[in-house]
Amino acid sequence: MFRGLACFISFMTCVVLTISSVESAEVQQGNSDGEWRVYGADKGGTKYSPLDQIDRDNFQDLEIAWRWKSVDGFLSMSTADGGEWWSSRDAVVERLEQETPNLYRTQNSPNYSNFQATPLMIGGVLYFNTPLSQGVALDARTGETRWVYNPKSYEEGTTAMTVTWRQRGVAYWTDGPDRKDERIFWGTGGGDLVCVDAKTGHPCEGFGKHGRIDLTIGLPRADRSNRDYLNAMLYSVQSPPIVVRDVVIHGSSIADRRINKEAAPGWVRAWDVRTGEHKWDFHTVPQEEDEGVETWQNDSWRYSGNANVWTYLSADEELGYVYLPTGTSTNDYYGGHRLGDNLFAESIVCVDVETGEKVWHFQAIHHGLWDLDFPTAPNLLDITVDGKSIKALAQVSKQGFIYAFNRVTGEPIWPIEERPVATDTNLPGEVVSPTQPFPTKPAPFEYQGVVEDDLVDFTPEIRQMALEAVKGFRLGPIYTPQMIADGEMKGLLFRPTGGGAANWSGAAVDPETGILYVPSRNRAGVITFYQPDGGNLKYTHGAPEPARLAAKGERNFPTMPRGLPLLKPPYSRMTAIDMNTGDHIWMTPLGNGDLIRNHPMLRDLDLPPLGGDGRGGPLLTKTLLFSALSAGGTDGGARLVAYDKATGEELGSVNLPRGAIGTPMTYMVDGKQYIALTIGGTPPELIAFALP
Amino acid sequence: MAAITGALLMVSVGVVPLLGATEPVSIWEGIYTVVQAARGKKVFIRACVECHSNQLGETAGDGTAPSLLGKTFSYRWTDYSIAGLFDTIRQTMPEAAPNSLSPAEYADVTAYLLELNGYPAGTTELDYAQRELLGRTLIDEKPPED
Repeated sequence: MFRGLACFISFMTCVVLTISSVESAEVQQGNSDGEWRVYGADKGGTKYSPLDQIDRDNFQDLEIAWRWKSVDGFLSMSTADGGEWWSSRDAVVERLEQETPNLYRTQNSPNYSNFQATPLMIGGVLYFNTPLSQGVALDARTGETRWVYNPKSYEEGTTAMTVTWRQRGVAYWTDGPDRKDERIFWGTGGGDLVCVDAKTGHPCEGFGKHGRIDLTIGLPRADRSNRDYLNAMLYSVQSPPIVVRDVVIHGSSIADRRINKEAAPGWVRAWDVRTGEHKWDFHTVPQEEDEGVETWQNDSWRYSGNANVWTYLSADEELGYVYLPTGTSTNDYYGGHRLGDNLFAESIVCVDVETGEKVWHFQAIHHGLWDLDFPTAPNLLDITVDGKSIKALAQVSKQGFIYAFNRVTGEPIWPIEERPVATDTNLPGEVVSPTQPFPTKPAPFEYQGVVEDDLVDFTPEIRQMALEAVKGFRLGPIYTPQMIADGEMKGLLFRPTGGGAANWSGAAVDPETGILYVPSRNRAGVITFYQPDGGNLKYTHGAPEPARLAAKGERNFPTMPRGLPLLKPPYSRMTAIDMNTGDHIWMTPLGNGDLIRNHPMLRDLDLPPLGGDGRGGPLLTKTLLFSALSAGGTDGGARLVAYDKATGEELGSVNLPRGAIGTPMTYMVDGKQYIALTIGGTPPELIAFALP
Repeated sequence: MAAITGALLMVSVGVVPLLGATEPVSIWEGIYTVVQAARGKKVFIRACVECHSNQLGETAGDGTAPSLLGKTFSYRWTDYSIAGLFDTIRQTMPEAAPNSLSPAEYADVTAYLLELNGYPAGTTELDYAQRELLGRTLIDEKPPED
């Protein structure tokens, strides 16, 4: 019986592998039939579609084809008599709070604003989820709702911090080209993995418990009934899972803001797509027997956590590998309770999807102190470097580096040098890593560090203001150690911050040319440390300390007068890099930055475009690169901009009724190409553009 | 009677437009209303509290959002125009989705910030349509002369 089964299994494995390898050429190449099957277009995260009905000549003619209002604005609640009451979000939340006092964190009840989803389009249907963890399917031609599944996750409590009440999308699986069994997966704010039938929206009965898996079971320090010091839940999922072969894999949201050193570990979890059977966990925070445990001194692995993949993932279906971009370990900015390099925080980990075993890893930051999580899945692309074909992986980052590897072996494409960095800090108990990795190619795509030379110099007078503004703050290159305010020392001014050069909208790659496009932001920040009351952390960060300092009349931030900027522009930009050579090809500021250009002290200088009009997620097509910006539209409004992807030239833009929230995507149905994206509103909306 | 009621209603609601005014109103005369600031507080809780905290220091987000109170606020915005403050908030915030609120919501949240920083309320709502005039109203740290 077993032998027969083994033979059958190996035969089926052959069949499955053959099918997979036929599809894989498409999987990292965008979609060939007008569909958009994965959050990032494909499992390689290209954000690319070969559609070209919308092109440079007709882009300006785009009109809004339809608009869909988020179902989060009108919710339902079961009543004691077995009925279902429907009302506004406000009314339902008020009722929930009455029935369960202290259900939510203060001023953080269910919030529909962060509608960050990028939908999938498969078979004429759009699939996505909402900030309140509802799953939705729409007719892709008309925007008409096909189904909604509401797991009512928001009835449990406030989602795990740091950023709450958001979802970025869903994942799709089918059993074969006939699409007999089609499923949609997503994680919820309450910490479940949900599986529904893609055709009907009904939970998959045979998956987990009535279509749901409680993801907190089997995870230490993630007790679902516990709350953190601000009364939020300990574990949520807010980014789309990925399905590779017959395995659904996901990350998690675990709070960065805390007063205790104990935290749930951000283990990446994997489940069988049909049954929900648990397949494996990858221990991003190692346990006793795991590789990497020695990088957590004084047994700090026993209580430390995070190192979570809070963003989405990418995968190579043919290889059967999933790539995990992990975040910082517990207590982003103070590492005194977790001395050591802290593997596998701030790393790329390549994992075999069948076994959960690590194939290779690379840690970009040892003992991270700057909240420089990997915020986005690595881009997978096939390139030719010095005449050699390489199945490559390019990981953009908050810190402004791109880490480029052979995705099969983990070998860096260009050398990454371990270089000495400063280690002096005035934070007691902290031990800073003496070296950090520095990619030699490509050159960073965003400013790193803050030194005097980075300060604005539009005029000598403004320059002097900037020098005044930074007095008392520690300046330095990237990876300068943190400082606590003490006497004249006000803290470390560092760049990039946790908001990133790049963030979760990531980068797009062109499968035809190997060019990578990454939007980024230029901002510096200061962390205000304090000693929390009632917690066991020696030092932590955040409110209420800055407010307390402000009340004392102190400034905890280098502040320019009269709304002037502190640093040299551009304030946000789009950079194109040829990954075959590692060379930058072009860079364009994102928007004019008229807010600053028209400043009374600057308008006579006639400054060039300064960027700073947002950092819209990239969408790439056959001929165009898109980014949604926050200004430059009619009446100072937001707009969707099209760039020539070869030169970065701004080709034109169409007005957006409101600023964009999620990254745009494109699809074709019945011979018509659409561009869809989420925008603000009360409630927010998903809108689709098409040619008239 | 209807006209008087209408006028009274307008005054009591606090919406007395600046239409017809040609001189910029001093910030100390009150350029927003209490009712508007209350609306702005609701907007703030929905769209801003996550990064700026309910104590208006920095909190979540990337931990580096500057304080919106006290010295950090007044030093940054003194001698800048109300229109400039409004435009900055509108075009750069919320950080992950700038310009995603309505112009009225941005006006309301600007009013809330002014209230929190001790600028007096008046009978006039802050209205984006008045932005040319608002461009000439400066945020003034000095106390009123009389």
